[in-house]
Amino acid sequence: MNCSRITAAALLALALAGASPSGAAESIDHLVAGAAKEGEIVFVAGSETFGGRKGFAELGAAFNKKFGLNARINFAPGPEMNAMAARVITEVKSGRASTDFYLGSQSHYALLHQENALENVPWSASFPWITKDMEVLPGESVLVYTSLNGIIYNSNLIPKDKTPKSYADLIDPRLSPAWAGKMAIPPYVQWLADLSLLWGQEKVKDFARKLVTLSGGRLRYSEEERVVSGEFPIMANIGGALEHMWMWQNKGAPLVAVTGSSPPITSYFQLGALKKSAHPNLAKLFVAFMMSKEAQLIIEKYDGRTTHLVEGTRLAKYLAANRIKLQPPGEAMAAYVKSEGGEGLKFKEELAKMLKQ
Amino acid sequence: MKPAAAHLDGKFVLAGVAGLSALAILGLLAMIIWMSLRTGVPGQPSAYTFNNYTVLLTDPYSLRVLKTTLLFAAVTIGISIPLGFIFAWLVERTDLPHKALAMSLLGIGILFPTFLKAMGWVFLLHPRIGVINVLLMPLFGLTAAPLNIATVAGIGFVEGLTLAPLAYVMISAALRGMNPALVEASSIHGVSRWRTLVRVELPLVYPALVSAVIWMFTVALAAFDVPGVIGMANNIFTFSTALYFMINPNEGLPRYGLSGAYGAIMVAFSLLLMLPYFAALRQSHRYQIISGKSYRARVIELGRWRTAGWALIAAYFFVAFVLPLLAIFWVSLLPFVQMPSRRALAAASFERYGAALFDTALLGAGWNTLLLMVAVPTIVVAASTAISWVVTRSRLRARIVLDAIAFLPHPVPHLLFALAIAYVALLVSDVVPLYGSIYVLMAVYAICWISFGTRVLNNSMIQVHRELEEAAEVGGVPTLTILRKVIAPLIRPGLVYAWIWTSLSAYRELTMAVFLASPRSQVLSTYIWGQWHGGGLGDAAAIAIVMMAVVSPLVAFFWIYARRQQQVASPV
Repeated sequence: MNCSRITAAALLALALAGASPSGAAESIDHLVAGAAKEGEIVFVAGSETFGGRKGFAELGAAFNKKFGLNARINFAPGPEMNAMAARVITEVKSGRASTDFYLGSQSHYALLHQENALENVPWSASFPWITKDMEVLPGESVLVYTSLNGIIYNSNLIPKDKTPKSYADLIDPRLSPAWAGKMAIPPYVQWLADLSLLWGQEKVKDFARKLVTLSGGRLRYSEEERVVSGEFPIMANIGGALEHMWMWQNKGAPLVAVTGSSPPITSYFQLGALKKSAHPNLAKLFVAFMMSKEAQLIIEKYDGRTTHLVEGTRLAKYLAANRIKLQPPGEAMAAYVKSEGGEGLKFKEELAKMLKQ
Repeated sequence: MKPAAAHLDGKFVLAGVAGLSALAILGLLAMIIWMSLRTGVPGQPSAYTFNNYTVLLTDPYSLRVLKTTLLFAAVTIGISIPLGFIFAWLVERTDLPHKALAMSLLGIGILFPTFLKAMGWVFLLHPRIGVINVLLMPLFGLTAAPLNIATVAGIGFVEGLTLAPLAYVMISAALRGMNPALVEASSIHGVSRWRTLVRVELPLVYPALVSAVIWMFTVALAAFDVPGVIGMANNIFTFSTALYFMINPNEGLPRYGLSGAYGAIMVAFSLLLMLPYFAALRQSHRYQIISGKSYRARVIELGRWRTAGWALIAAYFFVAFVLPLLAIFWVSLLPFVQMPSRRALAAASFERYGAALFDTALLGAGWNTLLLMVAVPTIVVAASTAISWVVTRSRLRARIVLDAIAFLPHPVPHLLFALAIAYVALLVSDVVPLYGSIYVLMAVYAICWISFGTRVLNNSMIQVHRELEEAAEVGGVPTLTILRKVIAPLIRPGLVYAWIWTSLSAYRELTMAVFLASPRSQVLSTYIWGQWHGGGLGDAAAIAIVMMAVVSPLVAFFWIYARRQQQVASPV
């Protein structure tokens, strides 16, 4: 098992290093003609993705307007990204994907690529608004939003003098009594693996052990409302921490986010069309549309999240204002793949065992 | 006169339908065993191996899940059985006034989805956001929440509370059929009421209590709704939720083989439990009235305890049903979950309800639910009629085996059937595009509820004397016509009762649906679950309220009908 994963990771790294999309560029007109016949598209993701129903209503209208289509955009709330990636792979292998395209970060896309579940599309060659650096997996996925990881907490429940400023503060005995037994931690290992690039593996293992002892539950990255509600006063890490804070503070909620490390741990969320999709033309067009400025503004309006690679988005402005430089998405993907091989894999398995406790 | 072939054809049709149903049940159970011996995803080549069992039995996580499940089941039984017994005793053995109303209040609870009530309990008894805790703490000057729903005991409490009406139904049937002569004799000999209850009545309903305990245990073993809603976020996993994460893992690929091994062990465990269950049922006849005389036991006069009896029932209804509903309603009005306050009230609106009306995905889920509520009971009643006819009317030697097979889905956790059918659908998805379709849900619901349908219809058919159909047979009437024109009208109450109960079960089902639903086959329960699980607590609450409001007339109709038929909603 380990051997095959290492081989697959090596192959993926090779592919990332020198890959160029093998699919021939299709003209937008050709795709639109095909899309018109398909009539509808299905996207399954967490219920609040891209602003949920409201966001999708507006995205659908703008998409149809841009391409002169009358397609129905079916957004179905479903499992979160990890579970959905597993499901998509099973479905593609078995004959039919239940969603036409997929949203996920580095770990999910590495898995989808490895399992050959992604449709090959020369994104930047086919769509003028997509640049090469937006293609995280060349010819397979594009960066739909950049997500800075961080700690979130409910400012009504954590005293001001006890607020954490970094991940290390979470296990600081002077501060941690404020959340001992009540802290939510995510059930994923990737953020800890990313943290090990800054801290080293041994320090992260020690950190994870202490974190598990202090935890009171497990929350997935879409469940920040449970911190807003006070069910958990603090969450050790969440993807899109800043965006969650901006969105909930707009509603008057007491949610504060802190990027737990410098540089911040960054997740690159990607969209890609799937093999065995029932609506392949619409899938390609919709994914491409999501990279356009108009789509990014709608996503920003409803979900608070954007890619830093599209000019004028909130995150692009935030990064510029705070002089934060992020690793190029393609490089981050390659680093992720490297962490999937040999020692990295063993390390992740150790972390997974700890989180299961 | 019709030719003999016509009789044969009808019998073959009934035997064929019964045989196919039995094959489907056995086939899915065999699939679980087969899954457990393979690795990888369905459709991929795999060698046969016992590795899944080795992994399962050597993983400390499995032991933790087992301990949690057993504790959860124990608390569920500890809450539901005593409450059910008290309610049954009050209704059947005492002069409690307005018994029909009491039965209705207890019955309504059974018919509304458990997971919706579980959602309500999070907002009531969570140590940090539970309204009751927040009110109690300043009232008694406490520094920590006195009650905590986010524990195994808390989850068991909610499950037990929602199952209490079911326990009531099972025990009240036994109390009603109990031999009153022994109670009378005890009374004549001057034995106190309390001693009579403990020394005479309790031993008399012992078999019913044992079967109710075992039944509650199997329900707790398979329950997904309460452990899913309350347990998952709090790192509490029972068999069902652990199984859910094997198919929908946080990282990596689904582990169908490992889930098959879990399933195979659960099947074995459930079947083992059936031995004491059947032993208890075999004993039950010894405690029933065998007199042909119209002989009713004198009811116990409660006197001033009447008020206390009613207070208990009313308090149960309020705590188990009204309070969680109010909590969900409150959350549905807010932009984010907040404690009741002036500020929160100012932010309250019906915005989510307005949005729900224009949600096409929600409407699609509603349509699918409606489809299941019509198709599933129709299939169940048809298949159960065929099986019950073979079991009660034919002279086939295999009829006892057929009856036993039809009963199998009763003890085996239904989520295992869902798992097996998902695996089959994935295997054949290249040839037949069944995976993710509403037909898969339809099939698994029908297969699982055949056990209920056959219990109801076996009882109904046994009561119809054979001479009526024998007369029709002599007159050359074909078998299917006899069934339609002679037997069906006589067993109509049973047929309608089975149909409506199954229809309501299709409406409230979450455990099987959550394993099988896809965007094409979303139903209301999975739609709400998707919202809740995805972090949309307010949206989930609003849709839950809409769901309950829409189905209330059907629930009311069912309850009125069941009362008129004088049939108590017992699943066994």
